[in-house]
Amino acid sequence: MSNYSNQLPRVQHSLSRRFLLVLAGIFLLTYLSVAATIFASISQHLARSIQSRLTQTADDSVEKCQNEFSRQLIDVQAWAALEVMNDLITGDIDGRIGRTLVQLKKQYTLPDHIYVFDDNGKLIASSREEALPQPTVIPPEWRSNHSGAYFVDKHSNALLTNAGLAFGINVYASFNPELRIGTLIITYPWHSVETKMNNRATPILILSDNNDALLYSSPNLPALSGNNFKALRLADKEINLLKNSLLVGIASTATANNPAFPHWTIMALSPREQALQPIRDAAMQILLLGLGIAVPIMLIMLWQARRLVQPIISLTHTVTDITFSADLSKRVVVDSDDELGILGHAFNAMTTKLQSSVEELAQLNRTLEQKVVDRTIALQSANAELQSTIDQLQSAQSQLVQQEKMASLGQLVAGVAHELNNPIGAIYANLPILEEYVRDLIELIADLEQMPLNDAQKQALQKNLAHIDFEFVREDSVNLINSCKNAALRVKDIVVSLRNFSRLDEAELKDVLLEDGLDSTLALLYHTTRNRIEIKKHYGLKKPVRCHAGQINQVFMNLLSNAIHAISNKGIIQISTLRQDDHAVVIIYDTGCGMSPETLKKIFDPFFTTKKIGEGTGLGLSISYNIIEKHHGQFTVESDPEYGTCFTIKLPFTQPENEQ
Amino acid sequence: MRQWLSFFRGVRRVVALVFGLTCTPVNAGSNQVIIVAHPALAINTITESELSRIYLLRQTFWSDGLPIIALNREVNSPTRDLFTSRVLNQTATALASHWQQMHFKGKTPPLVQESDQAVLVFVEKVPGAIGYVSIDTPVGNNVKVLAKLP
Repeated sequence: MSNYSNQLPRVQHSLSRRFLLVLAGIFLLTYLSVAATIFASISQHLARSIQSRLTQTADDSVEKCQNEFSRQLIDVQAWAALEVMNDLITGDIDGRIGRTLVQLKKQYTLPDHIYVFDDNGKLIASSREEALPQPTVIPPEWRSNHSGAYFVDKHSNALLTNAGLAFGINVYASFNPELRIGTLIITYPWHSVETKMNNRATPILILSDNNDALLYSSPNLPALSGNNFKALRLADKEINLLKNSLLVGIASTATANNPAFPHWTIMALSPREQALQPIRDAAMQILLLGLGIAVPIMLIMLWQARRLVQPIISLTHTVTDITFSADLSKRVVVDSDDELGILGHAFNAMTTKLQSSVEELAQLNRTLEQKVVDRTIALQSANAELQSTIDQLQSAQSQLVQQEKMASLGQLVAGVAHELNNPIGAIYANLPILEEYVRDLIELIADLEQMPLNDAQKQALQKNLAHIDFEFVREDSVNLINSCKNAALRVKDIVVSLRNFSRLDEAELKDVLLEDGLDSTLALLYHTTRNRIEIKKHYGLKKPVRCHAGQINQVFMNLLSNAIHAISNKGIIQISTLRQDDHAVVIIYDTGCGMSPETLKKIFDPFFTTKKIGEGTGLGLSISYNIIEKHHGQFTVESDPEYGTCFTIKLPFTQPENEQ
Repeated sequence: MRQWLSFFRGVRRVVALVFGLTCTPVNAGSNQVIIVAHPALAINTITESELSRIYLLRQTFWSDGLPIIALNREVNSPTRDLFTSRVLNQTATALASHWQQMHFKGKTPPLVQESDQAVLVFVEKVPGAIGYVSIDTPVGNNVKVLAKLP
């Protein structure tokens, strides 16, 4: 199959390689875009989730603070409304407030203490059971003219030695809401805040909104210096801190409807590297997945490319083979039903068609010569036909000329015959009388000799008779007169025959006896047959035939004259007439030299003659044939060089009336 | 708020127990109470019926428009028993029932102070305040004595 494949140009840009490259490119592009999208989506999602987790943590912390502080605020408000607080007016003379506070602290397991000051700021009672230095006055930061509960941010004083928060409220007399009778303070130790904020998973920062001070920092965070705080508070999602990139979730405890709350910013932090670890893991997984998919996909693409290109290579080889070997019987092996398979089928169909076309061409080429020969023959035959037409035309012309000539000749002959008829009649009529006269004269002489005469006389007579050679004259005169009589009779016969023969006055159809025509013709030809040819007549017809007698006689003349010419020495001419149904048949047979088949074929052709030039026109039989044809008769000839020639003429007794 | 109410009751019970036991014998035998009021009060005397109106919460403002802040003693106090039965002519139960009704109508029952000293200091300090102390209690010039009853 690949005998000629080395004659093909080398494949420069292999289709399979390009196919592979394109598919690989598409795969790579698709994979990269999908991977990039997925990665971007995952990382965005993760970042958002980390961010939201951090924010959630911050929010949780805020909520925790709010819950805790709300409770404190509610406590402070409720306790300030206790009836026992009216005792502030009396300076807790009965110690009721002190007892109540101790009770409350125990009951609510407060982390720190409750203090009640009178309106002048003097400590009236507290939940502390140990003795406090007297007089104790309210620390200035705990004072407030706020009407409701209020919050004191992280601070420390004599009563709150370790840092802490304070929740305070001004106490009014229950019977007179206008009458301020003192201040109630609940202290909240900072370590409780720290305990609540301590989240092992996520470090927390608490910043005060008021002075950008760091209130709390988770122990697992690096130490922060004061100048970072402002930047920290402004950070949105991410911040660079101490060479670490940190993700930040921010929440504020400040609520618009509750000014008594602390204004803190709580931040949940997470180191970026640690937070983004899942994203890197995802990227790695996507990469591994891509590699995992790439291997089988490349294998499939390789296989598919081979599969696609193989039929093309096979087709190319077949085409090359066909091209170089010029063998159209080769076919592509089609083993698939895809487009290439259809191409293969189409190519096979084309090859088949081409093959049949080529064979047809070869066949045509082969038959072309034969066709040329055939055409040549046809041409030649057409040519011959044309020639024969020309010949016919010529013959028709010649016949016309001949007929005219014969007609003229006939007229002349008829005229001559008519003119000769009278003198020859006189001669013929006078000859018997002349014979009688001669006989009489001879008898007279004989008588004279017998008469008794003297010798002189006798001698003179004898001398005169000897002088004229009377004996010879006597004998010869009889002969002469007989001869003349014969001659005259012949002339008479000839004249009759000429008249019969010409019959120019009888151009129209006439019922004639054919035997008369034959006899007339024989009479005209008598001088050629005499002593040489025996004429045998078998006349069995004896019935007139309607015909142009002159023309029929011309036919007889031709036939008989030919028969006579055919007999070179002695021979027999047999003339028979007979009836055959409604036809008259004339048979003229001679024992002459006969004709060869070649000659026999041509005897009716005009100008064909076996005689020497000048002796015959070659028109006789041709004209005869035409005459018989015109009479709706048949003209047949049989001839053999050994036995002679036999002409048969078959004529109908009647001719169609309209023919003239 | 329910827990606060229960808390109040608890506090009251404790206070009553502690003070009732210690203070009861102090004023035994006396049968009169001194009606004291804020020194700046417009009136100088008061009748039993006026006191009844005030303590039964029928009158809540003084004639000059100042709100009346009536003081009472704790439940176990003999002075309170005396004041209730003899001045107001009521039983403790009926009075408590009445005050409860009044409480629900939005009127505050008289405030409770647990000692005569406390009553005196309160009356002295709060304008419009009125209270009673045992006849044995020395009353200084810082308060206005309106009557000694019955």
